[in-house]
Amino acid sequence: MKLQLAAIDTWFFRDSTPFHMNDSPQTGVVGMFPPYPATVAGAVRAALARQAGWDGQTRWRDELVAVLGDGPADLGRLQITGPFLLCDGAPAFPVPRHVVGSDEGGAAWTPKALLRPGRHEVASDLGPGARLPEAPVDSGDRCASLLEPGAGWWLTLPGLRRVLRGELPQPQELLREGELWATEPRVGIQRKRNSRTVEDGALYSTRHVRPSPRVTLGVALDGAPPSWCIADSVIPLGGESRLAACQPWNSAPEAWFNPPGRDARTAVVVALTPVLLDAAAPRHELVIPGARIVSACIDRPLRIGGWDSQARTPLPLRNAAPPGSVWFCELVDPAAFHAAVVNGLVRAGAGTAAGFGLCATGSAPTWETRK
Amino acid sequence: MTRHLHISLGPVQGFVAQARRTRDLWGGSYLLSLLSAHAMTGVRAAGGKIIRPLVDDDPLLQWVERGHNDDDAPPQLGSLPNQFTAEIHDDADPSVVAAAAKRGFEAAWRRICEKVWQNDLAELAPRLGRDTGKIWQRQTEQFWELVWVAGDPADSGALERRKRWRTHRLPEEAGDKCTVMPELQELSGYTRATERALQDAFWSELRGRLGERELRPRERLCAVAFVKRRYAYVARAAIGGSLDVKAWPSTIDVAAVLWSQRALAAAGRELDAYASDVVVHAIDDPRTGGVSRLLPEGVRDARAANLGANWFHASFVASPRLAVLDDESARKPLYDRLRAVARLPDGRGGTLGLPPIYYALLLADGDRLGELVKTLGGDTVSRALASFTAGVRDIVRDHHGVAVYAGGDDVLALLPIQRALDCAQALEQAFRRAFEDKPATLSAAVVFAHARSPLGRVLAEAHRLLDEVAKDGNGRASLAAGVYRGDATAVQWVTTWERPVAHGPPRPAIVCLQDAAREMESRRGRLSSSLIHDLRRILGLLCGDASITPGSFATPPDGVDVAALIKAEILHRLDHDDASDPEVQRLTAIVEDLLGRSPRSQADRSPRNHPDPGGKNEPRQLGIDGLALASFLANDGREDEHQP
Repeated sequence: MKLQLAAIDTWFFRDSTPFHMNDSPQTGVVGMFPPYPATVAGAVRAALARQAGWDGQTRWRDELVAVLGDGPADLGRLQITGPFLLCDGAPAFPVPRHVVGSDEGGAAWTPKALLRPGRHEVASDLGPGARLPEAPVDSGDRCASLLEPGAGWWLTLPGLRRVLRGELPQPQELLREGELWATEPRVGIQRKRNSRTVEDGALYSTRHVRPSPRVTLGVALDGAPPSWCIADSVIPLGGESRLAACQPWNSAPEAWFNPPGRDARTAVVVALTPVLLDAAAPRHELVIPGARIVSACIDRPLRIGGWDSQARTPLPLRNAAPPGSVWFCELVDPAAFHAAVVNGLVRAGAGTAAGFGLCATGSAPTWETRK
Repeated sequence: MTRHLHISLGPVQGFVAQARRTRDLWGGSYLLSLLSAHAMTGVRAAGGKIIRPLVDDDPLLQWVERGHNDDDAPPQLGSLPNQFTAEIHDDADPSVVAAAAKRGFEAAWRRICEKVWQNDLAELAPRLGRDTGKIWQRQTEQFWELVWVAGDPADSGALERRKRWRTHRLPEEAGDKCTVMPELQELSGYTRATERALQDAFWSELRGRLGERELRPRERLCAVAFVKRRYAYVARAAIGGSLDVKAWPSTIDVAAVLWSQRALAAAGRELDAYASDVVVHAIDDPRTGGVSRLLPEGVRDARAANLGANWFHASFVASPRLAVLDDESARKPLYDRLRAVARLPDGRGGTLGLPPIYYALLLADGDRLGELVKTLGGDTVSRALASFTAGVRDIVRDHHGVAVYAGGDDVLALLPIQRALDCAQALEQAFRRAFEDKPATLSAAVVFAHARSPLGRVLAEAHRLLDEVAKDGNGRASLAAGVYRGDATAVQWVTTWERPVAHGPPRPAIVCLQDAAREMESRRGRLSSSLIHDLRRILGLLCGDASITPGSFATPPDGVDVAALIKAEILHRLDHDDASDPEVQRLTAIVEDLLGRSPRSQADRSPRNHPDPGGKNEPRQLGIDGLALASFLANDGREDEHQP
């Protein structure tokens, strides 16, 4: 089942900032976009349950639990892929962080180089064996260290495939975030019943997201019975009682990629959805079957939590690598690596059933490996 | 032979910028500087030589290194950045030197945390909290990160490459989150949804001990935010010397300082009488001292000077929730008395009114320091920056502001709105003087914000204006100024420090702005704010909607005589029909000088900014925000209730 979710008016997806009545988070509450996988997974599970007869209040009966799982950590038989941001029905992805460029004097950001592991190991707090990402010497820019990732820019599917082949994206493959959605500050009040004036101190502010009419969210579901179809319905999605129109997502190209060849010794792995990092792994890093991470381009981690509505308690805040994070891997066990990759995609980290940890693999750029 | 060891402490943004109040902002910035000083001390003790920035004369580092007695108070302003470069011998093990840095700053942090815990939580936490000690230990032990990379002296980009691979991970955090630093759990350990009474009991008792001014109602803090809030009170034990934080000016105090000075001069007796009444009736001591800290010595001790500036705002005095009195019957007389003060003459032909509710946050830093180091050499740049930093505090103080941080090429300060732009200009001139005639420029952002806007948002807006508007958008060597109102940017203006004008050579942008503001003052000026609305509408018609959003510039069609258009509007407003009248021409030039865009030319990298309106082959662009900013300044940032 593939679904496309379109905003009815605006959406509000909040991050981990506390948002209680009579609390005053010091920065207000900022909406984010796209939403985390767990948010969409929760909305879709609730919609499927209602479609299957759930009344919206009581605990799910066993038949629902068998399919949809029970609680935030157990998704039953469901496997969710996404959510993806769709532009004109086709998926778009944050520009991977190893694509660096510059914008001069307000002109559009222009990609200029693909970072790759440096030729030499560098003494650093990362310990032995780590190589820092650097631009190739022929990148054509005398200040390669000043080149920046394309924050606020997105790539079309052909553009991402081009990058994973080791090429720079073309201008027509770049989408500016400001053209995909806008934020709207909103103020909420609580009124006194008798006077219909604002309660003293009962004021809160949020920032909603208004996607462009060209923009929707795409999500694929496996494991639910076909009769539980929720296409052509309206479902609650996110906070502040916002809604999404749910439509079939049939026309889009499949998000597949060309993995490294069977005889390749290196691979580039790019996060398409947030990747929940393992606190026990070295440097809390990613574990990919058959691969050893030698370098990476990763921004500060996201802090992803949520709410356990059964236990009425916040879910623990966990670290996640943001979409667009890049890992440069050496294939120490190519067979194990290729066994884990399907259509150029690999799932890594925790929560993959809910949509976390979906990564694309690519063959380039390459670099000299060490024994 | 030597190598360079680059060290960076973090996370900076989360620690400094997540601040509820100005004192937290200073506190985070100062603590980070102090920890950096301990890291540097560790490096020097391990045989390294700090080469960037130049710190041999830094007062904070000197204080940390020399050991001190009770009489030796530390410098009160943070001056050391969170990252630095040390020179080490080629055969020195960089990991050993880096470990010495880490030991130094971790020991200092641990000592500070222990003292805060002992002073405020040791007795209460086991009795009223759940796993508070574990939460404290987890957060204080895992919050900081020290990254380092060693390399060839010619490789100046090593730290930037290291930072492309972010590896710092905060611990997993369960439970309810801190209301100031929401990525960490609050200290009580209880969940509000199911254990509200227990959570409230913890925080109520703590609040009762510390006072509501120290821990506001509804604040529930994590360990890191709590240490940041409280370490100054145990500074003698925690860091070895006292810190004066009793009278840190709030945003409302900063907004009110010039009004206070004027009011004390014109109506000192009446103001003091009002202050005495407030002291009698206010439940909490209203003498916060924040305003007095910013006033000149002669007036600092006046009773009214020590009153928190909140008490000069009518809406505050009128609110039983905000201004808690011992006797409700005292509220109306206090309110009426305050209103009467507002109606007193100000000695300049008008009345005092009430203080502005807007203040200014100024953020400045040097442009392309990395390239400057490559072309001029690290020593030259470091010496110039040290010279610049040494004068920053005085420049800010001369403009009635308070410096929060001044180190390297960075400045963060809070100022009254009437002096902020002059201060920015003075800093820019000082920066160029420090580099003598070498190609170095400074960019700055000034956010005029409502005193009750969340401080973290205002700081984020300042960073956006500085990085995206002044630097990336206008080519650097620029000033970006914005009015932040109701959680959105209402006005956004950017200009080079000097800008082209209709007649004559380029003029300082601040002077152009002040000329317009003077003509828009409600009592004396000849340009009304309706001119802005009408010009906005006309430009919108000529150029399309792009001309009417904050910060936008648009290109009028070919052949449009902008000066004639402005002149026509002015003639209409003055009910005048002589276009050649010198006064009309003067007013037309004032308006026209602010309409044009003034970016720095992309082709011109010369040290003195060469305004290049639209670039050599680009058409002239126009925007209304310069005039809108002038109108804001002319109105002194007052809301309706503050009008006399």
